[in-house]
Amino acid sequence: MPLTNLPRHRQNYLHIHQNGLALIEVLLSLGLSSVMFLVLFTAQSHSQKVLVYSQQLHYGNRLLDQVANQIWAYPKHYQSLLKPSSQGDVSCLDGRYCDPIAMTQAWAVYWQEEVQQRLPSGELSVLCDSSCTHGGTLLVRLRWSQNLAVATDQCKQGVACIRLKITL
Amino acid sequence: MHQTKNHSLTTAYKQQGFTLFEMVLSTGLAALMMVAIIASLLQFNKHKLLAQTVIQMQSQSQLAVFQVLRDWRSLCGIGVTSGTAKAMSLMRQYQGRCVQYHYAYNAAGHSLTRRKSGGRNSGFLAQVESMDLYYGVDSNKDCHIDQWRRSYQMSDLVALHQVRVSLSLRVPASKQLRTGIASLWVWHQDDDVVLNPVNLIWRLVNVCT
Repeated sequence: MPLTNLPRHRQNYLHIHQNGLALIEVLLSLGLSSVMFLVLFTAQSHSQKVLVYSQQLHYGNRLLDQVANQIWAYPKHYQSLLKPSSQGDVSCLDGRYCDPIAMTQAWAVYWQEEVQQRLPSGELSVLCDSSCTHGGTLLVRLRWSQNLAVATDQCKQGVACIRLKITL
Repeated sequence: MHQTKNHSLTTAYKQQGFTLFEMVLSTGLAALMMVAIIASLLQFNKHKLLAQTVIQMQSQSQLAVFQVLRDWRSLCGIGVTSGTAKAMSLMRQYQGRCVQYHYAYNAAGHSLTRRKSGGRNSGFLAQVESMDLYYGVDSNKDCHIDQWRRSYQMSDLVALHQVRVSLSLRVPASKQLRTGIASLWVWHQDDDVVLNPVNLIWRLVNVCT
């Protein structure tokens, strides 16, 4: 609406009060914008961490699948998987003839190396619930450091855990 | 305009424009806002690309494992007949018949091909950078794998228990992600693709059961 259409006293009022924005208004809007950007960046950073976590979970699940396959391949030698020895020779997995104990130990060492390489503070453990005989339960557990992981009955806050139960 | 002389002067006096300080301050604030907006847009775009790549890697590896295991599941006859580090021949069911199939890695086409006996090669798995096969054999008949070898030929002396498949899949990814999270993946030296390692073990169910 043109100012000329307004009554005189109204025109004067508008001329007097067109002073632009006060410093407090500018600072307030700037502060709010900063908070908005900060929230956005925080959300995005968190989302990125979730992606990394999801990739780790994906890798962990695939690894457990392989472990389960190998466990079935050596049904009488679970004990070698329970206590992974650094003596295990990985060349058993690449051409060398090895007995079942050496082969199982080689797998245990291979997985430990893989886990340590791919997951921060990664640790793979194989446990027998009661006995390692037919009818018992074998528990394959994978743990690694992950800030986003919530506390569960098996793992504390900041440690991600996945496990697989196999009935022998 | 119907304004008094007095009022025109007041208006002229008030319309002085901006001071230098106001100009510098507003330009500075605008620049600050623009930098923040552009930075966040770039960041959002990078994050979107990252999410796309991660999801693609996961779905691609799941699909590859599923496809390979599903195809090899319907084994028949004498099963795996022969194999090398890059190829394998096996007998599998096809429309009620036991037919020989040949699977091989095609380096030029970055794919895994499948050929039915008497047929032509067809693409079986796309975006494959490399493939390595290991054959877990039992040579002393104790039902345990005692050697993982790079080639296999069916014979009475050895029994094949498992095949270990190490695939490296190609996931197209934007160059912008090269500066991203280094530990998440490995880049191809020449192409703009991320290499996605997929390892799987195929257990032959009819051996020692």
